[in-house]
Amino acid sequence: MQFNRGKKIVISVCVVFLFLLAPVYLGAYNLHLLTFIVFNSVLGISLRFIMLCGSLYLGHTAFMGIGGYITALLVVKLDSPFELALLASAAAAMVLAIILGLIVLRLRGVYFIIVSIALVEIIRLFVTWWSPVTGGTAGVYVPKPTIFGIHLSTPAHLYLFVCILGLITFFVLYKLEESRFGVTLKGIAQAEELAAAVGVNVTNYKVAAFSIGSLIAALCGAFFAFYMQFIAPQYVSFLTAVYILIYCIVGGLSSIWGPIVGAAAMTLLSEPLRGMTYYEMLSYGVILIAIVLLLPNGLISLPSMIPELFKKMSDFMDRSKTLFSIARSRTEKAKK
Amino acid sequence: MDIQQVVQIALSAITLGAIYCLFALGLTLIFGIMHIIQFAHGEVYMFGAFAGYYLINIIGINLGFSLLIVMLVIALFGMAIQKLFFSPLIGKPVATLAMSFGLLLALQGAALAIFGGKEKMIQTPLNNIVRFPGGVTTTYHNAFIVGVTGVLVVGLYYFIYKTKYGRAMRAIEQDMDTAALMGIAASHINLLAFAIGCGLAGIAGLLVGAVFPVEPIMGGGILLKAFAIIIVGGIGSLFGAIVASFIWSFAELFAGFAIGGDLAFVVCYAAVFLILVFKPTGLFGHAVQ
Repeated sequence: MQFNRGKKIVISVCVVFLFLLAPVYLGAYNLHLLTFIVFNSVLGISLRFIMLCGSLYLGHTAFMGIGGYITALLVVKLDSPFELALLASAAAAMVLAIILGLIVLRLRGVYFIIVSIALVEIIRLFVTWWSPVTGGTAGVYVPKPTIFGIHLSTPAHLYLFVCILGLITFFVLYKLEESRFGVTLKGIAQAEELAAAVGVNVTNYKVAAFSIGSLIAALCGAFFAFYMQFIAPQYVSFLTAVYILIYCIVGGLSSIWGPIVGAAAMTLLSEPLRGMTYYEMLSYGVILIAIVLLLPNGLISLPSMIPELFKKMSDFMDRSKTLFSIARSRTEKAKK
Repeated sequence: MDIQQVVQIALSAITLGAIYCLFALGLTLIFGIMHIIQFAHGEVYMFGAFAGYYLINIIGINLGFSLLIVMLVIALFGMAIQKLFFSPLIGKPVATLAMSFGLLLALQGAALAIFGGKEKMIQTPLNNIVRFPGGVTTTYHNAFIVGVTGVLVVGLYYFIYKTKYGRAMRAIEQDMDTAALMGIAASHINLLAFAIGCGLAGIAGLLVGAVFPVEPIMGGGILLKAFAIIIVGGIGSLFGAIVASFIWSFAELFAGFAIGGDLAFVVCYAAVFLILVFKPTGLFGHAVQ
């Protein structure tokens, strides 16, 4: 199927409207589910954007925590308007990401992964310790936000907020990946020394990707705090970072659609298991193992894998037929 | 802080350091040989603790025999994990990492479903309190932990530096392809590294089960600390892992005493950060890819 540019635009506009009108035709429960699918997709695509330059990364929840706490505390303790708090947390996350990135992104491979885990632990323990301001393990209660004079009081409002965040994120990251910037990042992933040798400033590119991804994570964290109306240190966890990574790997890392497919599949799957943490963990683990062993390029490679699977199956049938006929001729010979 | 408190904290730190040492040695050994960061190592440790709990408390086998049985069973378990889940992925670093996350979640979820979330305690015959002059106390079990760790570390050094298989392991660590050309079966050495690493973690789990509660989530905390430890010591370096375990346990307990637990960990992890900035290969390590 080939679409020309006009048709593509019409279809995508229709899909966007279908999504924006979801509160009209979905019930409260399904809307909640869809909110989380969109939210997890945004986290997934921003994490994938950071990972474009080659290494796995587990520090995404650290920046979610930073965004969530800064926005919530500014609104609750200082009565600042929500828009301003959101802007402040985004700016803080960006500045911190640039400073940390200049230090951390020089590290390669395993060192980078372990440092990203340490980052999550530092933020979690810091907000636990600083209880006069952050409320410690008891957390902070957050009111419903008001943005540009609109009080976001219903789930539908919050859904539209995360949808708009998702659309902007998707569009910006998609365009960035197609651009010269994204191509350079992929080049760095494939051959870092070569990229440096032909004059690419590797560190600057990495820091730019890192800070953009972390900014989106901070916005997601702010949204999460206001959706749950609560924020506590246990939301800043290593396990959540692993879950976001799982959305990317289960969906597939090769395209921006991968994390979206992965987030939708895993969110829908874990919904019946909610409240039973251990079955949720067990199924996430088993699915991840199965995907790594059987579908190394993720769920988005499934359609292109079907012919191959069929071919494998017919090969297997042919081979067993041959084996069967050989065995039969031998038994007949033996009878004679 | 007077001298008695200092001695008391130092004694606790030596015991804790011994546990970290057993755990981190396995982690760094597996990394050195197979270049895998084993995120499921904490789960292996947790299974060791549960195996010890069932052998000692439920069946009633004595501590020494349980130690041997747990070491063998968990070593076999490690070999099974290596053969089934890691050996098909050799040469694919991203897939290997994803696999270890999958094992982490699956094993922890399975343990929660099978054993339940309730905390258990291994009963040890060595729980009598020893009193030193001056009011410092410890238990025989703590001394036992340090003794077992000492014996195992000496045994591991003997194995790696004095035997044929140990030499093969060092050869694989230095250069896998050349070692394979010299006729060393890399797949067997990989299995051996996993067996030793997991056996050590299993013993660490059993030993710790009489001091701290045995529960399915016990592997998470020590895993993150052990990562910090092997980074400080230099990934793949056995000597570095041993020294860094004790540096970490002393830093954790003394800083915890001085400024409180949570802030102490913030300071410790920040120190790891700084070490990486100024000396990215750790204190005793060499560069790795």
